[in-house]
Amino acid sequence: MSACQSQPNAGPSCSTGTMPPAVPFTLPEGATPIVISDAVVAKVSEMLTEEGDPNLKLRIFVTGGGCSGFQYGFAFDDVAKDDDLCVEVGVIKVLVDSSSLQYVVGAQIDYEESLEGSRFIIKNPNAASTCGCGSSFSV
Amino acid sequence: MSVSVTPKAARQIRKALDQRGGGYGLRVAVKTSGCSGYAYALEFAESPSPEDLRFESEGVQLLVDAKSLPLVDGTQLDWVREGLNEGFKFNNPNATASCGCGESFAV
Repeated sequence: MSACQSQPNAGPSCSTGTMPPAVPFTLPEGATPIVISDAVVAKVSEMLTEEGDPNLKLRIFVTGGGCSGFQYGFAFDDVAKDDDLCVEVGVIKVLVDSSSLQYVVGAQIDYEESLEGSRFIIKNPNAASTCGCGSSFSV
Repeated sequence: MSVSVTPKAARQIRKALDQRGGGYGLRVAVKTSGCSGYAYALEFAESPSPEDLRFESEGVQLLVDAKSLPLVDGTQLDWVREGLNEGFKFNNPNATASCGCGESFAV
């Protein structure tokens, strides 16, 4: 299979695939859950100041969809669930629910700013292929 | 043939030019790479080259080289916020498929 399949013009995300199974996941002992870069800490704390709510946490999640089967999501959440992994780095807290965690264990979370835009990105050792384009298209 | 920008994209381009201390405008190009065959490339432009076509839209200068132009003719560049991320979006009438990138992966 090619590294990335393109889909017919179907809007910003290529397709809605099947949801990952909601299987409870236990972090293997000694495993590094996720690594948060300084750029993420700086950007999130800036966003929290803008939002005026220091209790917000960065939630990272995985859903079905996109060109390659799964896609990442980033959002702010003020509530941590019982099965969330919570990583505290500096002044920020990052949440990952247990069914998403199995897909991102050991991943590095970073924040990139360039002329093209600003985005949270995940370098994920679990990903067999990614759809890693600035913006790709066919004619 | 032409390319254009939305008011939001124009604001962002002006902001980016100010932050780098000026410049002529924005260069829009197409490279053969990426998941779907072609990828857009944006860069700051100091001045037009002889092979460039120049377009003015919403008060900003856009440069497109002659080779790239047929692939982006009619494109409107927008600046969109999607969740916590924001960036330029190419509304390109020539694109038959596109790839909503970086966010998608297979395991």
